[in-house]
Amino acid sequence: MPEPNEELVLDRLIHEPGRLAILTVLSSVKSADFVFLQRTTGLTKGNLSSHLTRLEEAGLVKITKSFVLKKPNTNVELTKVGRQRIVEHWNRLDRLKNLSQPKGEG
Amino acid sequence: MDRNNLVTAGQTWTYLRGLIGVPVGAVFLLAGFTDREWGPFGSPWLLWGGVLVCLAAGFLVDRWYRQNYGRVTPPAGTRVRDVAWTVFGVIAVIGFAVVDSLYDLPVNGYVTAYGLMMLGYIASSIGLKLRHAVVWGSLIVVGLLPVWGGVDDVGLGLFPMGIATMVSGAIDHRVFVANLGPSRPKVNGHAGA
Repeated sequence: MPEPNEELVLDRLIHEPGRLAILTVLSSVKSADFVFLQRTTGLTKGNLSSHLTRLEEAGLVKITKSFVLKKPNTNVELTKVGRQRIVEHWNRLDRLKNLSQPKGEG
Repeated sequence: MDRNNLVTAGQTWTYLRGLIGVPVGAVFLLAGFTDREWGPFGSPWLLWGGVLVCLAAGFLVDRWYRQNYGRVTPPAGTRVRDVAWTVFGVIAVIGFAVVDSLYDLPVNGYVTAYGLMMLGYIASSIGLKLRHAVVWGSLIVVGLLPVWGGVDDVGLGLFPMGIATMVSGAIDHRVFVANLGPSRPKVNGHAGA
């Protein structure tokens, strides 16, 4: 059995669609709050909380909870590792996409 | 999942909250009316009262956006670029106004400068779209019309500036809502503010 090409192996933690969406949104900003992430990803509150917990446990995001105008506010930002991992993941997806295209296209 | 949509949502959050432009435009109009001393606007107190109302409106609009659409902090580089554009824009508008008043040019220097500054700012932040070219391009054309010589450029020029700011803001808001969906009072108990 041939060895898998490490360059093309996808990170399962990141590749889950909900987590990939969260990390992609966060890659374009310094930080975003829970409401914005829910708006942009379309995830339910429970799903978003669950994904954020997993991403925090993996050290990919940093979560800060506070009160703003007496209301709870959850702010999320990518860690340095998280930012590297999401960039690498999209690069791998791009390489896979290029490999899947017949020669002469794209 | 569309990667571009997700990235664009974060990158444009700051700039497409266009309703903030409505009270800003209203301040331009108020200042214009006061400068012309039209009707009750002869009293400067009406201007200062109106400015306070517009400031309060701007604060409420900003809070409404945060509660309904959440909050985003742009990258440090983006914030530095925005501050640089603002400083450059203020200097450019004042500079054009001074040159215009010194030589009594037939064009309106600061209306033109404001339009150019806005086009440059938008191009450097979210990229120019047709709607921006139409609104701000129209303002530049108005500023370059050879009808401004010998008239009070400052007072009259505030009107097209205010209208352009309000119209552009209203259109950007429609794009913002189209991207993120209609507003709702609260998202699962979490405050965006």
